[in-house]
Amino acid sequence: MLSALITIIRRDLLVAFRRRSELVNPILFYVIVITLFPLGVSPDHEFLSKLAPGVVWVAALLAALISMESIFRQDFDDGSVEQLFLSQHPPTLLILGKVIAHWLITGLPMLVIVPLMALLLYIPEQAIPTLFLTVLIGTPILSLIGAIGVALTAGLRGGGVLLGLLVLPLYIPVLIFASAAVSTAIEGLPSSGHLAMLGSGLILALILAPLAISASLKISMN
Amino acid sequence: MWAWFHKLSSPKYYYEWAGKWLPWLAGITVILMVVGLYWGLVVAPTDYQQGESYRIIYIHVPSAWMSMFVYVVMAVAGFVALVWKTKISEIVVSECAVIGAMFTALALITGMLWGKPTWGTYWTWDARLTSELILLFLYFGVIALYSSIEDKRVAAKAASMLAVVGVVNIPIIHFSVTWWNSLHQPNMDIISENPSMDPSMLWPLLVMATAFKIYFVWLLFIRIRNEIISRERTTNWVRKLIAES
Amino acid sequence: MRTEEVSVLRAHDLKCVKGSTELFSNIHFQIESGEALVVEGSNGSGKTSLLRILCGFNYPAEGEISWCGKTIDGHEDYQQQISYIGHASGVKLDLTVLENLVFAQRLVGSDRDETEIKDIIRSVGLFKQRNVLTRKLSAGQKRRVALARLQLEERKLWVLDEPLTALDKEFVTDFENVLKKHLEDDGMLVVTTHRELLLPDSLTKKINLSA
Repeated sequence: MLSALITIIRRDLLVAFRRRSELVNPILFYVIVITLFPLGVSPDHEFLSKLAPGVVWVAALLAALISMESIFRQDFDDGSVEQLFLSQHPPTLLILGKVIAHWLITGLPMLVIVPLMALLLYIPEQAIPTLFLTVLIGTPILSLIGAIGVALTAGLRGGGVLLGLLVLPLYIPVLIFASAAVSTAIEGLPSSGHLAMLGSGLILALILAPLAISASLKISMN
Repeated sequence: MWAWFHKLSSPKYYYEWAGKWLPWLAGITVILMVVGLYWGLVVAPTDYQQGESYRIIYIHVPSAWMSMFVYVVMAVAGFVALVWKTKISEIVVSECAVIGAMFTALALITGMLWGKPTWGTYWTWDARLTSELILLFLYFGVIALYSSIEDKRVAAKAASMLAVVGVVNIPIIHFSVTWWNSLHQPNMDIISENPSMDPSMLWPLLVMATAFKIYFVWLLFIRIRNEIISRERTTNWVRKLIAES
Repeated sequence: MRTEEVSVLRAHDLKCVKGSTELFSNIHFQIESGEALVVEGSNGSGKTSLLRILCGFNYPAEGEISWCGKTIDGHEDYQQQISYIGHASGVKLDLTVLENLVFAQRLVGSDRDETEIKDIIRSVGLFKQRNVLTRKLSAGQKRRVALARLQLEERKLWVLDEPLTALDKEFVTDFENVLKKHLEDDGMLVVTTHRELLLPDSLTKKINLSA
């Protein structure tokens, strides 16, 4: 079981690294969106740090959304999706592997860059560990839910915009709990309660999303 | 019982069966609406806090209840469509999405109209309105997905899947929004659903709620019948039906 | 091949509808171990749909498929008997030939060592290109990678949608031998093709969807 999971993760990572140029795009998008806020609203120190938790997370939602499409697009083009369902291993396991690989490619860089973004938005140092944790727990949820949407819209024209319409409302709880956690940390209060909420969301998503993705892929293969 | 459900899932049988119910549903809807509206708008006493403007709840509250109820109906039909692959339940999903979005929009609009005299503003980010808005987005998602897929059976399956995913998420979204709201507006007055509503105001509300439910069933039956005709237009029984009329 | 008992694939009264057009109906057939089914029909007659229904990817509008007497709906073991090559070959363009096959066989769960894999690559004439990215190969060569995968997977039922597309003549003969060997080993084959495919008549059934 575990070896199958590792095999598919390794395969997808290898494929991703062969297309290195596409790897950095979502993260650049993330940085640019964040830069827009001080420019569009105000560079005021106090104001920005108040806005920051929301900005960091709204940008994360958008970046997760636009990077999501690549998770199954190639598989639909090259016929690998069918092979997922003919494997000796349960499709849900392989799908979980694909989501993990995709998160390693898109979520992990965000984790690396987010302390830097915190600097840009004047998030006080004491809140950075919490911010880091929300990204660590929250972005995998985004990947899991997003993959359901991609599985449903794969192969449709204008799938990108449609994907946003389907997936963004489902992202709202993550946005609320994650940015609230960061806000409380900025105020110097403990944020473990919010992080626990996110954590239980992640567990729920880990259990249910692969089933939904698998069923959705089957529908889209029709 | 089971055999009857099975029979009902055949488009032809359903078409005839639902056809018999239509006049009854229409009649009950009209009677209940007239009674409920007259009772609510004319007979029921004026609210001592809000004056006459509270009367919009006779539309707002039933449509808000329906917006949730229809989503659940849609998700259950979606689940049935995915597991048993019955045609009728697939149609129920896409038709519910449209009707549900309508109720949700109605709840939002009446909520905003009520908000103006009550809070002095059309929009407040109160938990109930915000949840209702997100619910509308969820309905739009189902409608958009359904209409972007050409093969209608595949489209219905995809929409069913999304409805099921949505219904799992709704409690979580609702919880998070309520919680978010309490975080930002801890002392907001909640005047809307007063727990101790006077019976003279409550009864017309219940009549209206029932009227809305029956209206939903009526509307659903009509829309399903239309969709059946358009989907099955190549089959013999529909051709015969058209020739007869 | 892998099992002693005789396997039976049976289709009963299949009907396929795409959108509002009916592609085919009243399709019956049965093949047993060591037999092949050639699916014929004009463009758009539903050959690909039939193959995908057989693999359990799509559902028929009516009718039933059974494998060894059990319906394939919800019968998970069945899909693990199948090797499928569709219009898209199921080959990752950003992996080399060798990598493609190594990953494919791991996902299938067979455990051949690398020399065996290399032998198969040699047999499809891609040994020199084994470390070349599949993206850089010609269409015919990409198809060969898929055919190599087929031999690697050691599955009982081969479902092949136009396997000969873009292949050159000499290789077609080689491939026919591979198919014959598969049937001799009690394998089963369902195939569509526009080109002549020489298979032993006694073991081959034909079905025409346009008829």
